[in-house]
Amino acid sequence: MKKPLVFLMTLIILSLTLFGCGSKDNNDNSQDNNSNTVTQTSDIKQLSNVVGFSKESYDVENDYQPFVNNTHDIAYCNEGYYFFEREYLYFFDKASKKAVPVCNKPDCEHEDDSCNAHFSVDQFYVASGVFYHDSHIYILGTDGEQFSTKLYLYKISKDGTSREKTCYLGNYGSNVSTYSLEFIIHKNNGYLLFSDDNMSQLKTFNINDDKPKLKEIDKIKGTGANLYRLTGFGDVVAYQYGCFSDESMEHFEGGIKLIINGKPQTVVEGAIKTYFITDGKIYYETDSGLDVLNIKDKSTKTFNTPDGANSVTYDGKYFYLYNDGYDDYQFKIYVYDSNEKLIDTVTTPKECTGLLFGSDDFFFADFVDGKKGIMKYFEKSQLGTGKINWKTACEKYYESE
Amino acid sequence: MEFKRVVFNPKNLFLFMFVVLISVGLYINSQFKNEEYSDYNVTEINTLREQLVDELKSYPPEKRTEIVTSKLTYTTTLCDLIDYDNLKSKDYKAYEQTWMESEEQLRDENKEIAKYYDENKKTLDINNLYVQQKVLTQLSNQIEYINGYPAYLESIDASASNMNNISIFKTEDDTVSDNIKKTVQDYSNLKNVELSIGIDEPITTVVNSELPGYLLIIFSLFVIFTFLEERKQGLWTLIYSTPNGRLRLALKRAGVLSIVIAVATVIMYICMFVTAFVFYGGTVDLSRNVQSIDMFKNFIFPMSELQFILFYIGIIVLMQLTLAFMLWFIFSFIQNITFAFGITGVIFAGEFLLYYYLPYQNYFSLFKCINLFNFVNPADGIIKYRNLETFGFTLNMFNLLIIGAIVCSAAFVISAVITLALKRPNKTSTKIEIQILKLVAKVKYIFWIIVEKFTLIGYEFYKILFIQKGLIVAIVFVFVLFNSINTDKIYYSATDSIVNNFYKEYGGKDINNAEKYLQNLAKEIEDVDKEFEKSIIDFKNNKITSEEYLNKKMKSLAFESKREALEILNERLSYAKENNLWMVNPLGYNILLGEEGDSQQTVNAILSIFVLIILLSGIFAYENKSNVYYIMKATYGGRNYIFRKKITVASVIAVFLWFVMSASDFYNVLANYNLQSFTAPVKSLMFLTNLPFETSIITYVILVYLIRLAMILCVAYIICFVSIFTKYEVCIALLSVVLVVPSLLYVLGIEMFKYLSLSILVSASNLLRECAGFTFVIPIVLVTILGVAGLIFSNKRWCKNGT
Repeated sequence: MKKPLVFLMTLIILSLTLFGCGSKDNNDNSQDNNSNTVTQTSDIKQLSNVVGFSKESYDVENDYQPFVNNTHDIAYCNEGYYFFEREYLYFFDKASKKAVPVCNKPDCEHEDDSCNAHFSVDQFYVASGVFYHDSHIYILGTDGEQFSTKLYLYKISKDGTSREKTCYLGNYGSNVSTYSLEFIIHKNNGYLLFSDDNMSQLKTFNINDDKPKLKEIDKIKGTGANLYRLTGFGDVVAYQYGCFSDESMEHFEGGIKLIINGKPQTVVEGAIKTYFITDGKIYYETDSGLDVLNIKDKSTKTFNTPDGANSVTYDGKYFYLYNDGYDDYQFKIYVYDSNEKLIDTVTTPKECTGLLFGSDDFFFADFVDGKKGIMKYFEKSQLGTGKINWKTACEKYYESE
Repeated sequence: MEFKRVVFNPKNLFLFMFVVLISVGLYINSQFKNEEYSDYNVTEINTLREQLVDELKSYPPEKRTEIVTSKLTYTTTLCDLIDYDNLKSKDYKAYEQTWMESEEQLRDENKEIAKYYDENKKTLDINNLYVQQKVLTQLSNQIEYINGYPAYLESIDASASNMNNISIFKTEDDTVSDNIKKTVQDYSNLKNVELSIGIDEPITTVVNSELPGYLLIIFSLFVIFTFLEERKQGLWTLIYSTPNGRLRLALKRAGVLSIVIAVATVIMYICMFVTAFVFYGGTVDLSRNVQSIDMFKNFIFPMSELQFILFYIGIIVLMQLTLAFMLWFIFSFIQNITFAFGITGVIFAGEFLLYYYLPYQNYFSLFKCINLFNFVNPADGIIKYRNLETFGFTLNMFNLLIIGAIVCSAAFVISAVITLALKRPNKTSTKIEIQILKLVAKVKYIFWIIVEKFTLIGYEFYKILFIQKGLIVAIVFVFVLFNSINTDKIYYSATDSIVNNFYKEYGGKDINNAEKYLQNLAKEIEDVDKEFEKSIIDFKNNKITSEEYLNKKMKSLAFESKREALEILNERLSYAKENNLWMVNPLGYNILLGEEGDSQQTVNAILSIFVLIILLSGIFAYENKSNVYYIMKATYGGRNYIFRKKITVASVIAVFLWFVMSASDFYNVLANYNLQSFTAPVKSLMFLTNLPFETSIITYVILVYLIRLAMILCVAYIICFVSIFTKYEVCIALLSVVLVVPSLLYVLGIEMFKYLSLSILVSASNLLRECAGFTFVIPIVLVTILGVAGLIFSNKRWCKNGT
C-alpha cells in the first residue's frame, strides 16, 4: 500500500519541476524527469476494461485498421485491399488475387481525369492515407482550386463510381498539399493530428456531419513537441507524444496516451518507439526491447526481441517484429503467434522499400526493380512452412528515362 | 407575316451574317495560331499532309507502317543532325560534354543517312525537313492508332471479363454491373468497322470550336427581341386584345423561332465545315468511318465522316433550340429586361459552377450532363462514351443529353407559349404584390428625398437603380463577392510558423540581422547534426547509453522543420542580397498580387463587367426606348449638360463596383494575413521579380488598383457608347458577347481567347506579372483609347444637331 503511494507522491513532486513542455492536458498527472525509465502511470488503473484490437472484436466496417503500416498506404475490406499507385486508386481482389484500378469502365485506359480511379494529387491528399469505413473509401482533399487551403474529407464508393465532399475541416497552411498531418477514422469519428504555430494538436469530429465542429482533445507546445502515431485499437484511440523537458533539448520525454471517454490518459511514459494495443495488453518497443504491459493485472514483462528488430505490429493472428530496413533495403520480419512463440522469420528480397502489412490473409510490401516499382504480396498461410512465395500484385510506376 | 418580319428584319440578317463571319474568321485565325504548329507554316503542313496521305493510300494497309517509319527515321535523323550542328556552332564545349556521344551513336546507327547529310547539308531545305518530320510523326501516330484499334476493342471485352471477377464491380446480388454490360454491348457495334488513314483536322477542329455555339445564342436573343418589340412600342395591349394575338401568335412564334434557329445553325456549321475542308483538304475522306479519327475512338455509332457531320449538325440544332426556347421563356415571363438578363446571368453562373466543378463521380452528375454549357458545346457528350450511375440508374451520357434537350425544349416552348397566351400586359396585383409594391414605394420615396438634392444625377441613379431594377443586381453582386471570402482560421505547419515568425522579427530593410539570425540557425542545426552523427558512432562503440543516443536522435528529428525553414529563408535571403532588396513575407501578397489570387480576381472581374453591362446599358438607350430623346435634346440642358451628368453617374457606378471588388480583395487578405513592409521595393516579392520597373510595394498596389479603376471606367464608357447607338436589350446582348464571353471561354481553358479577355485587364495583376517588359502597357493603352473614343463619340452622337 505504501509503495504505490510513495511512487505517486514522487511523480506529483517531480511534475511540479517540469518545464519546457506546455501541455494543456489536465489529465496528464504523471511525469518523470528521468526519461530513461519507461513507467506506467497511475491512470493505468482506469484501463481495466479497455478492449484493444483483437480479431474477434474487430469490426471491419467501423474500426480503424492498426495492422496496416502507419502511413495508412493500404486499406482493408472483406473483399480485398485498396491502395494508391501515383494518382490512381487500385483494388487488390482477394478472390482473384489481381490488382485493378477502381474504375468500372471497360473502355477506360486510365490515363486522365475522366477515369473513376483518378485522384489528382493537386486536389487529393493521398499522402495522408486511404481509409475504409462503412463500405466507403475515405481520403482527404481540397475543394479543387489551385493553391487551396481548405481541407475536406471525401467519401468514395467501393467501385469508385461516386465521390462526394463531406466534412469541411478548416484551412491548413499556405497550401494544403505542403501541410503535414495525421488522420484516422475510428468508430464514426475522425481524428486529426496537425501542427499550428509550434503547437501539435489532436482534434476529433463526427464524420457524418458536413460542417463538423472540431473538438480539441489534446495539444502540446515547444520545439520538438509532437503528438504522433495516431492509431485506433478496439475501444480506444491511442497516440504517442514527445517533447523536450528542457530548453537545451537534452532530455526527451515521451509516452503513450489513450483517449478514454473523450479525454487523453497517459498510460506509459518513456522513450517509446512503436506500440500496439491488443485485448488487455499494450506492447511497446523501447531501446531495451519489447515490453508487454498487462492492463488487467498491471504486470509488465519483456518480450525477447531479436537483434535489430525495433518495430512491432499485430494482425489479429500474428505478431510481427521487424527492423526499419533503411540501411540496406532489406527487412527482416520475425513472426510470432499469439502465444509469443516464434514461428517464422521472413527476409524480404532486396530492394524492398517499405512494408505495407495487411490483415491475417495477405502481407504486402513495396519494391523497386530497376526503374519500376512493384507491389508484391505473399499469402500468410505460408507462414511457418518455411516457403514464402512473393508474387506481384501490381506494377506501380515507371521512372522517366 | 411573323416569319417575314423576323427573317427579313435587316438587323437580324446583318447580325447573322456578322456572327457567321466572326466564327469563320476566328476559326481560320485559330488554325494559323495553333500552338501545335507554332514553329511551322500551316499551309505547308497541310499541303504536305495531303500529298503524303494520297501517297500512302496507294499502298496496301500492311505496308503503310513500314513506309512511314522508314521516312520518319530518315527525316528525324537528318533533323537531329541539323540540331547537333546548331548546338556545335552555339556552344561547342557544351555540345562536347552533353551531345557528342549521342551524335556519334546516331551516326553509327544510320551511316548512310549521315553520309548523305554530310554530302548535301549545304543544299538541304531545312524548313521542309522539319515540316516533313512533323507531318510524318502525325501520320505515324494515326497509323499506330488505326492498327491498334481492333486490339483496343478486344481489350474492352477482356477488361469487362476481368471486371466480372472483381468483387467490387459486382452488384449486391453478385451479378455483373449494368455499366459493364452496357459498355460491352454498345462497343459491339464497332466490331466490324474498317478504319483508314486520312486528314482528320477538318472534323476535329470544327467539333472543338466552341465560339459558334455562343454566337448562335446571341443571334437567338436578337430574334427573341424582335418578338418583344410590340412591348417596347406599346402595342402589346392592342395585339393581346385581338383574337389571334395570344395563343395563335405564340404558336406561330414558336414555329418561327424553331425554323430560324434551325436554319441559322445549319448554315453556320456548314460554313464552318466547308471552311475547314478548304483549309485542310480531306474531302475525299468523307466516306471513311469517323472512328478512323483518334478523337472518335469512343464514339459508338458506326458512320462515315459525312454522316457524322449531318448527325452532329442535327444535334447542335436541337441544343440551340433548347437554349433559344429557354431564353424565350425567360424574356416572355419576366417583363423587366434588366431582371430578365439578371436572372439569365444567375442561371448561367449556376450552370457554369455545376459544369466546371461537379465531377462525373458526384451523385448529382446528372446536372453536369444536362447543363446549358453542355448544350452550347455538346462535343464531349457526343463523342466521349460515358455512363453515369446516378439515382440508382445507369444512364448513357449521350442519351441523357439528347433526352434532356428534348424534354427541356418541350418544357420551355410549352411554358413560353402558355405564358404568352395567358400573361396580360396589365394585371391586377395580388395582395402580396400590393404589400411589396407599397414597401418598394416607401423605399423609393426615401431614396428620392435623399437624391433629389442632386437633381439630375439623383434622377439618373433613380432610373438605373429603381426603374431599371439595377439595385437588386448591385445587391446580389456585393453579396456574391463577400460570400466567397473565407475567414476561417488558418493553421500553419511548424516550418511555416518558423518562417512567419522570422519575418515578424527580422523582416524589413536591414537584412544584416536577418542574415546573422540565419547564420546562427544554420550553426545551431549543424551542431545538432554533428552531435547526432557523433552519437551514432559513440553508441556503436558503447560510449553512450541508448537513452542518450535516442535523445540526440529525437533532437535531430525535431530540427527538421528548422532545416526546411532555413532552406526556404536562405533562398529568399540570397535573392534579397543579390538584388539589394528587403526581406518581405510573401504570404498574403501572393494572394493580393500573385498567382494565388488570379483565379478569384478573374471571376470577380468577369462578374463586375457583366453587372456593369446590365446597370449601364440603359443609361442612354432608355431615353431612346421611351422616345424622350428628341424632347430632351430640345431643352436647355438636354445635350451636353445631361450628357455630363449621365457620364458622371456611369463613372460613379463603375467606381462603386471597383470599390466593392477591391474591398473584397483586401478584406480576404487582411482577415487572414499580416501584410508588412509596404515601403519595401516591390521586387522584394520574388514572384514580381520580372517587373520592368522599380517601385515600392504600396506604390505597386496603388498602381494595380488604379489600372483596374481605369479599365473598369473605360469599360463603362464603352458601354455608354454602345448604349447610345443601340436599344437596351441589344446593348446587353452585344456587350455580353464581346466583353464577357471571351473571358468565360478563356477561363474554360481556350487559350486563344486570352487576347480577347477583358477580365485580364480588369484584374490587372496577372497582366503586369506575365507580360514581358512594358508590353502590358499596350492593351491598357488600347482599352483606354477605346474608352476615351467611346466618350468622345458618345458625346458627338448625343449632342449632334438634327435627327
